[in-house]
Amino acid sequence: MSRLNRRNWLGLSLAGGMAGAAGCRPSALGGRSAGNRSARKMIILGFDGMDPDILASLMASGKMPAFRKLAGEGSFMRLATSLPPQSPVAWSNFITGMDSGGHGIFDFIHRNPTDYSPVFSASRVAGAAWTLPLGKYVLPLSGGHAELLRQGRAFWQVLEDCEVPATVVQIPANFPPAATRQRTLAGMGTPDILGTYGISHFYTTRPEDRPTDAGGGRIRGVRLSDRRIDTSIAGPVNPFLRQPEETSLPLRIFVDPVHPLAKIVLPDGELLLRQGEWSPWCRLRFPLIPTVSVSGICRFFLKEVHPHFQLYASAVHLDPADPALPLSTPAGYSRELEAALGPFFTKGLPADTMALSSGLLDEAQFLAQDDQVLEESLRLFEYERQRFRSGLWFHYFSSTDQRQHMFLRFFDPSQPGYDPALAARCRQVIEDIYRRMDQVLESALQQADRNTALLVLSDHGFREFRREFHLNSWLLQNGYMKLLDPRSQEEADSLRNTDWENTRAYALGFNGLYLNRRGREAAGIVAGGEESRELLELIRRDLESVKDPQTGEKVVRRVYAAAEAYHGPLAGGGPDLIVGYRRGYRSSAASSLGKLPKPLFTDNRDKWGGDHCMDPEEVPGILLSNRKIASPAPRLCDLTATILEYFGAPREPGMIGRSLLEN
Amino acid sequence: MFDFFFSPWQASDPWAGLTAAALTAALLTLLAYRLAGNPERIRSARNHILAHLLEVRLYRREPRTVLKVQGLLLAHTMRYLLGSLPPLLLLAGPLGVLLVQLDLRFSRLPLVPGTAALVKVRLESGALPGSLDAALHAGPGLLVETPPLRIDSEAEIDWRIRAVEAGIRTVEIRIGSEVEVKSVAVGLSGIPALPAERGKDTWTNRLFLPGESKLPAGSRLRSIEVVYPERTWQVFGLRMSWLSPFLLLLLLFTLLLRIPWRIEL
Repeated sequence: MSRLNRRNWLGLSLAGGMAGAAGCRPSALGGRSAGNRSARKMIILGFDGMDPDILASLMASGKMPAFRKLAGEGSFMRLATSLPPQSPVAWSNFITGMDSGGHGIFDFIHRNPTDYSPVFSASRVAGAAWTLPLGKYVLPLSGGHAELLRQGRAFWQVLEDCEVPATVVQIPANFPPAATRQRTLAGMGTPDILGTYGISHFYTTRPEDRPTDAGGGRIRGVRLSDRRIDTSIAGPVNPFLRQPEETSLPLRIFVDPVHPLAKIVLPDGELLLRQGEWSPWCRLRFPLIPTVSVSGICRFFLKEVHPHFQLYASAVHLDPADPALPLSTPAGYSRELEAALGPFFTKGLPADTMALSSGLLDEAQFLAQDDQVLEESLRLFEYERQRFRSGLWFHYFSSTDQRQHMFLRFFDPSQPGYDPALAARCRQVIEDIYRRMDQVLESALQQADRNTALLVLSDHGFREFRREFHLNSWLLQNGYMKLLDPRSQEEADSLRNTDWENTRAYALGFNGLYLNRRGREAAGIVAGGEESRELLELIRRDLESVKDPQTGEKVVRRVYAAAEAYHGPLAGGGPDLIVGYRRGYRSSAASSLGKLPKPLFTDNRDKWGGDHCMDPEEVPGILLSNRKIASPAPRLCDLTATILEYFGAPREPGMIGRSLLEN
Repeated sequence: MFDFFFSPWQASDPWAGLTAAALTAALLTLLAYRLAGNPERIRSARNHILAHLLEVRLYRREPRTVLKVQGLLLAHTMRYLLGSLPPLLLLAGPLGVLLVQLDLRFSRLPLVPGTAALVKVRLESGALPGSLDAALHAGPGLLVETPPLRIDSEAEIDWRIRAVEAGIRTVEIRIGSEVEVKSVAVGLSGIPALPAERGKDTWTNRLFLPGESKLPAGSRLRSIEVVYPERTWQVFGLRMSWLSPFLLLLLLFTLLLRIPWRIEL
């Protein structure tokens, strides 16, 4: 009996009792029976960052026939994004039907109020709580674990209560995957094997040509001796050692004396690459102690052989065949996919945008990498499409987001550092990825029979990002923040130079601004009640009047008070103000990590020239459906309510959305 | 002979072939014990070992007795091994040949059309590949994707080929005026014999590199190897080489069949 059949059988046999016990009921849409409900299906395609203006323009010019067809059958609308419009927040809204006050994800970056340090918002990985020291080793007596910090139940967990099967592929903000019997595969937020959001290696015989810190890349200077290079590739920190140290694997490279060709020898295999080629996935097993190892996969790109050797190694992804951290539910689902399709990327946002920003890869090389990501996504898509028979199927694509981040700059001649020649070569990239997604939609349309509701959504749109605003520097200049040593303003990061006893407000993350509240922050000085309300109002007014001296434009469209914007018990744990920037502006990366450059504004000369961490009104997402949408202003959290109602599942406490489908 | 033996399982799951091989090896083992084993000595030694183990448990609070029993256990274990030595010696040859043949079939997978593989030519020591004229020509069904990569320190020349069409394909390697051929298996189903390496005509190569003609004695080439993908076997969700499941099955069949045949092991 196949897995799907077994699931269906379970669904049929348990539907009556379980569904009743869980509060599942026939849908309110025409009072359909439970039997009809079980025949209902839903396909949801998530195209990260797909922008309604770009989409509408391509649809109007006839380049998106499938989107046009879907819009003609049902609806095409702007979808209100989250506050702030960041993927972890937006997808959490969609997953739970709540806003940040309910699910607790406020930004890519949160702060630890006990020491003001920046932390990843979506997940936490902890080692074993109980250990036994044994010589130079430490034996864990309890298991370490990865913890999903998103609160609230996911819609597929609610559907599970009603025995509606669901397959959810690479949805963001779901690492480690929420506990369920449904098939889910983690997406954005899944770390690499080092536990980071992606650290690559770059081996070069000319390290002096490269910055020591190339974004997320480690530059390794290597020496070519007798046409051979001996180096290593870093793995995870070995938790079995009393003095934890990073594991590594030997990497030996042979170079041909004449041809632009190199052989890479790894402990588990070897490969031959020509200059300009990408390798297939290579499996790396990092030994921890005898009999225990951690398995990962990575790809190599041979950038140059002669005269200077340069080799790029991607971040080491968790191996879907043998993941060191939870990647899927059931645990065997990622193994099943790997067995059927071969190795595939598992790290969230796998295309290495930082390598493009820092010049480790150029535009064509980055695109080749993202093409591989896209091909693997399409293989996963096709695999699931062919076996989709019942329930809900969600499928996510990241390439729309990643390519707009890196290529939107070519549409904006006013972008600092705009290169017309390069723009001429790269302008087509965004149109191409939209058209590829049109083909994906066409496949989904073929799969959707009359019992299938088809939804297409994006979490946010995109705008050009020309100027960076240093929010912490602004707080300092306006007296809201004080430094311990004003002379070293630019040196310290993570707000380490902050005089907390005299600081009233600080910023961490891309849109968040916090009051230094007494009783909440470790060295808080701002009292609650009237004092904090007045301070918030003051900052809000001041921020909304900030103008860019270069352009004379206002920088901030609107500042939102968390207490007014968020609903739910966790609303007080996040930032107190959320800054909604006008198009073209965004908080600087430096400020978001607690740095304080001296100027208030700098030109964005990074290749990361498109963004969405602005005001939600600036960057709405898209919503298309083969059913008529009832609401004139749909929101992400409304989609959750829509899904549950469609399958007759009960709303979860705390959900704020409303169903969008017309009765 | 082995091709004939495995022919009934070519169309079925590889596990069927491995199970048949393990069953055959178990029958060989039991036959060897019946022909050359000393059942009296084996039974007596085994009974003594069992008795002494019980003695250790009974007298565990008397260290002197336990120590003495440990010595006796060692002595009877030696007796047991001596009793098993003649059948094991008898078995060593056929089982060795069988293991080499099983490795030929169960440790590697043929190339899948569309995938790449390395062809590695190792030269006799002292040869400098950088100074030699080396070329690889692919026959129908294969593509050569790279020029030669010459590694003087390893006396090795490598190429990358890509499989295009299923079948037994060949590559032709030319080093100076010498030309040699190596077979490449592409897209074959079942459990075909996959000789990965072609070496010189030595007794070790005859034993361990079966399946292809040997390189001439005066050749500058020491070996030609095609790096096939490893075939892994899933046992209770764990991936392993063929040897572990084979040994488990061999043990299981041997223990089960010794009962009706009344053979002392």
